[in-house]
Amino acid sequence: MIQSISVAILQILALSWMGYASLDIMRKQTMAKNMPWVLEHPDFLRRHHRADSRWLVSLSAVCIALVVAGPWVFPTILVVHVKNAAILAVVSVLCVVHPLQEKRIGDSIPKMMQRSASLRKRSTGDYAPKWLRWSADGAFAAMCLAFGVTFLVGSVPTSFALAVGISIAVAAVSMGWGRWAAISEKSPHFQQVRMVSDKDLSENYRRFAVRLMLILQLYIVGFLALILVFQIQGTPLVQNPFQDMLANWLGEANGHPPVLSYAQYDVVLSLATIPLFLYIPFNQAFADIRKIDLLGLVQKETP
Amino acid sequence: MDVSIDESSAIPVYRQLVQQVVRAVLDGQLANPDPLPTIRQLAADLDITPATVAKVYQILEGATIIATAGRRGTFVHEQAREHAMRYLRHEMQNQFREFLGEQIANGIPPAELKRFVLTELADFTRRKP
Repeated sequence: MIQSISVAILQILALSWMGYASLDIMRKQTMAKNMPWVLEHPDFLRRHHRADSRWLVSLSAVCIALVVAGPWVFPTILVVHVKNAAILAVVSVLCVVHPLQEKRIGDSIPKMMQRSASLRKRSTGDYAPKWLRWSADGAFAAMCLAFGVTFLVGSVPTSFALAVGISIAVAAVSMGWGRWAAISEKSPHFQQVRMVSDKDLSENYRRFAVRLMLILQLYIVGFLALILVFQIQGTPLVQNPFQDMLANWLGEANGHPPVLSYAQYDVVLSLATIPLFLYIPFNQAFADIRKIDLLGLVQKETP
Repeated sequence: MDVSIDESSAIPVYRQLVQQVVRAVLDGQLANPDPLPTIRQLAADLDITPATVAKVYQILEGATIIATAGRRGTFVHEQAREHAMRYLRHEMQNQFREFLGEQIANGIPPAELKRFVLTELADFTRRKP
């Protein structure tokens, strides 16, 4: 249990670090709405140049406290369940609080009267090499086909096929939306801050976001393929509570015991994701934006 | 190529965008089969509503300057140049009719209007190098 708690705390801390960096990016995106106006209003900038991280810090602390105290107070509850529920609740709160805060601040910054944009259509091809796009989409299609065929020939139980089918649908929608958002939506664009950096920050950001989505897609495909291989051999890789629920609902008998318990599986998955969460804020696309010192800019502007 | 909008202008934003695309087609900066950005992309980049961009695309599509090919997106039409020229003439005719209608409603006699237009045109042509 100590191992599970330690990994859960590490994961929460890594997520908080990524969240902190994301809040900084969001705030700079808000300020970039009309940089000349912001620079002309140093009091406004001083008040809002840094994102309010109180919610993030306090909710992360609550999350850690729940993970540590939960299993002691309720010994029957698994750490993984407490951690996942707490993270889901905290992320849901932060996803409401911070966009609202940014909207409120953004609404008090007037739009620039003159604005321009390129008439060039952006596509995935502009931000990721062909081999990565084809391998990610090809692997995803092949995986869907493999799951379909193994289910139709009866190599896997219905509960497994249903649970994985839902996971594939969720992954497809999330990855598709992620790619679409990275390309279509306004990413941090700091045309007005080019005085600080000659790099095209928004293009760097998009390149990073699209490639991350494609690599995540490959990662998900690889992981689901591993699950399928174990399942075909008759020994499930993991005891998934959702799959258990579906099996009970469909009246399927329990097969072989799984290779990993759900808690062990979560530890493995958490350890795999922690380096990613820690790395993202240091990525060039994030770092380029994070190193912009808004207060320094106004000090340069004000003699 | 870039498009820009000026919200302080008396010309509505959608007309500013239509005019810039038409001019780009006539200048050859945009030609078939150049793709145009999605409504969402252009709206996000210009910080305007998607409805405004949709209106621009609708006008340009109605004038067959651009064409939408289902999921492949929106492209510059094969005969965009001819259609852009026709659109400009049509626009000029509409604006001229509107101007004439206003002046006649203001009580200026048609003969005086005709003389005014011809004099201004001659003056403009003489001044233009």
